[in-house]
Amino acid sequence: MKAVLRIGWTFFTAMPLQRWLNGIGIVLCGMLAVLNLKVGEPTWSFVFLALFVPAGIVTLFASPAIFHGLSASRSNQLLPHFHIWMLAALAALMIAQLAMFALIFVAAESSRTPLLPALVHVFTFATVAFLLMFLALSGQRWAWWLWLMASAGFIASRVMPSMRIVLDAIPPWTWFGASLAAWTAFVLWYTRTRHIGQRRRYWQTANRSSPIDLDENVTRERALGLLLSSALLSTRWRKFWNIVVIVIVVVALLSQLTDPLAISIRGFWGTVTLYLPPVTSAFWVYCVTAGMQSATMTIVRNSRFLWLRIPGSREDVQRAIERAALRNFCTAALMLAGVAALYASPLAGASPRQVVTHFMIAACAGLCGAYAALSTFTVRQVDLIHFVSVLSLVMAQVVMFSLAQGSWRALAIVVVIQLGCVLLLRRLAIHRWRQIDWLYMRPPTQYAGLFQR
Amino acid sequence: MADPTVSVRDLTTWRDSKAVLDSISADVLPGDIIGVLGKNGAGKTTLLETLLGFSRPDRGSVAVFGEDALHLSAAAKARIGFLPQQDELFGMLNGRQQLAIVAAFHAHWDHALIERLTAEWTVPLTRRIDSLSVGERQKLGVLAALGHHPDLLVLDEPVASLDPIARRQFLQQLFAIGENERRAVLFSSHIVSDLERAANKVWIVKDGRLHWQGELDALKESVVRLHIRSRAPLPANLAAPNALATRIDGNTAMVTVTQWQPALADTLASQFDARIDVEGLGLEDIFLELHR
Amino acid sequence: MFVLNPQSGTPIYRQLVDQVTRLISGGQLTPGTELPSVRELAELHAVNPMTISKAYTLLETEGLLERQRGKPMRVATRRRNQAPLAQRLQQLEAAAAELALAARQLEIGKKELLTLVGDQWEKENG
Repeated sequence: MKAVLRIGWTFFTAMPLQRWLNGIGIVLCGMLAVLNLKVGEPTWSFVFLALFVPAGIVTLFASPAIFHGLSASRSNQLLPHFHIWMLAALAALMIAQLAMFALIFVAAESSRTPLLPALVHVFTFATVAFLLMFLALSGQRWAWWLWLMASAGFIASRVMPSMRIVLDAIPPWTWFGASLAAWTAFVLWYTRTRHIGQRRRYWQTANRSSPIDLDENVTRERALGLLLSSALLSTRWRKFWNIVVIVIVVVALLSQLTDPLAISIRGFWGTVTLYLPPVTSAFWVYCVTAGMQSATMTIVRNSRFLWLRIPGSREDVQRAIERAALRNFCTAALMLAGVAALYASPLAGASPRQVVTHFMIAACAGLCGAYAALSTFTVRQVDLIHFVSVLSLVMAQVVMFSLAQGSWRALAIVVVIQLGCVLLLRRLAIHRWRQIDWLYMRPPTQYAGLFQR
Repeated sequence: MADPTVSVRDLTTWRDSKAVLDSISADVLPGDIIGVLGKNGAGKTTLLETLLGFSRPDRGSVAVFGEDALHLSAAAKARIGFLPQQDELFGMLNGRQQLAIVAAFHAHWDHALIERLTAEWTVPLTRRIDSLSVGERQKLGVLAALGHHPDLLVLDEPVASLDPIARRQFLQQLFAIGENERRAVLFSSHIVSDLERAANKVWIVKDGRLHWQGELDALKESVVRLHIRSRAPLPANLAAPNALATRIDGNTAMVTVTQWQPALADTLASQFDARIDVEGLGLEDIFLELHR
Repeated sequence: MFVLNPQSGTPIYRQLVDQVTRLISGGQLTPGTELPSVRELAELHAVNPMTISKAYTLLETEGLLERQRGKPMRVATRRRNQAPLAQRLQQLEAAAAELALAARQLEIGKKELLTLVGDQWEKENG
């Protein structure tokens, strides 16, 4: 039993990102609860939502990797009853997630649909997500494509009313039965198999050549860029997360743009992303801050590669790193501009002020995230300072976000505050870089990504 | 005498209120092949990386080619070759691409040498690096550190995963480098027998201090084990000068001493009315004795 | 030709010096014989060439070997300068001490010991 609990706990805490998000979720939860009481509208769904977004969704997507990582380890496979423990922990995880979802569902008073079919849909979704990702990680490349297709189908069912009618016509028990059958097959296979494929990148090609187009005459600039972005290329999860984020963003945008009133079960994507202003703006800001922060952190950790390769002192390395981070930021800003353009288009018809507010706040948040990573890196890999700094950044930005909705002047003030914050972080960055210790600040090793520390 | 390649003065680094490097002063001269020995966690990696400026010492300074290690010019950095203990190769590239990236940073990259060594050492260059074995990765890492003919080559555990044949080939390459009198090599290893073949100097790191630095030959001549056989029981408090370890068993005793002088045998022989046999020690035994 | 053991307590250069000295005094290496080059020997035994050249240099200063321009070292043809008697005697001191100690342990008197040494001397010099 203890082992099952341990494994179950691992599902929620194995990845550093998860621990972060869970922590943020809990803080967010408290903050929103207080905010709610002040406003006087006791809609507890906020609270559950805040918990669910980080803990539920992230765990849902992380659990296949964690499950696979634990299962594929040869030494683990030799433990007595290991497979039974793993399956029991997995069952517990599924039940916990369904329970969490049920809580949100009950809390959202506006829901008019019955609970059970909704739960079945969530169960089906969780099953598909878990099994396909597990297969993909075990080296079955087709599973990635199937998974992408499933996601696309899900989006399609959101935007195309005809398709939704077709899907709704399928009775829930069919979904349930199919999921159960899939799980049975999985359990039978899992308890018998002696070999679980090692994790492989989903884009890892069958031929042995490298997927990166790189001839032998590399310029110094290109080599420098490759050295800095190595982890971006080598961590399959980063790539995967990018796709997940893009899918979420696209689904969220499309669902909001086409069907703003739907609070059916398949509407929960919309719910968690954009429907409830304080929560969803926090989520937005968080996404951009954390995204830029993690991308910059990669560059910072790879800075070790530069030390013997570019002339000069730590200050010179810092300047090179800052340039690389700003290049990253420009790409992100371009993407944000795309989103803003979509909002401004007749499809959404948002007012210019809304569009500018969203864009400016998100862009500033990204810049803050980048400089937070540049300045609060922890040489000895203790995340605490970093965690607190990014968390407080996000919190401050959420407050500023709601302030900025007021008027152009409010927006200007908020942006100035944000940029001031960036300048302060930059100062701190320059100061701290003089002391950077590359004995400890190392690029993450190839297999450390998932179960780091 | 030539200017030292690396000059270390009073190098001290604290971590968690413990000195990881403790007042280390040493020189690396052109032509030196220095073997760095020390048990796990003794501070070898910290020492080697601090020498190259990866870490900022709390006290003391390092000069590499006469420049402050924390602020090296492009010219100085181009003369350094470094292989970190944990290789820093990119799994998603193949060997050829990896070498191309490293070569991009050097104006004079010896493609011919790398081609030759690749063939001799049988390093697969067309396979993705993450599909290589640990030993193959290590060979590739060494190649990446050699191609620009560095005047200072720092190798942190370069042979740990190599088979005996590859280790021998690596040593031959090291000798080829050592033939050029401008070049200096600093390498740490736990494979003492390789160190005995290759190094002309040894640094033994113990608790963050350089417990011994100097010629390997001098070390071997300095540390010996004395077998004392007396006719009378030996006193329990038998004290030989500069003794590292003493074991007394009735009429006989085994004493390991440093700074050995043949004259000491006579002194001891007459002192205890005993017969003294002197046993020279291999580096591995010396290392063990120094850590008693 | 030589037996070099890097793991031994005796430094490699010392092993080489001792062996060359022994071979020359034993007559196996006659004057004029060329020795393997530093590089050959280093490669054969996989030891640092500097160690070999250190030994050769030492042997050269002792007058046992001589350097030839552009060719390997060879055993000195000229009879080397004799070291003073006192110095040569000093080299025997350790052996003598050992012998004396062994004799004392076996309770052999000085006269008997000297007789034994004398007999041995006769035998050696035929």
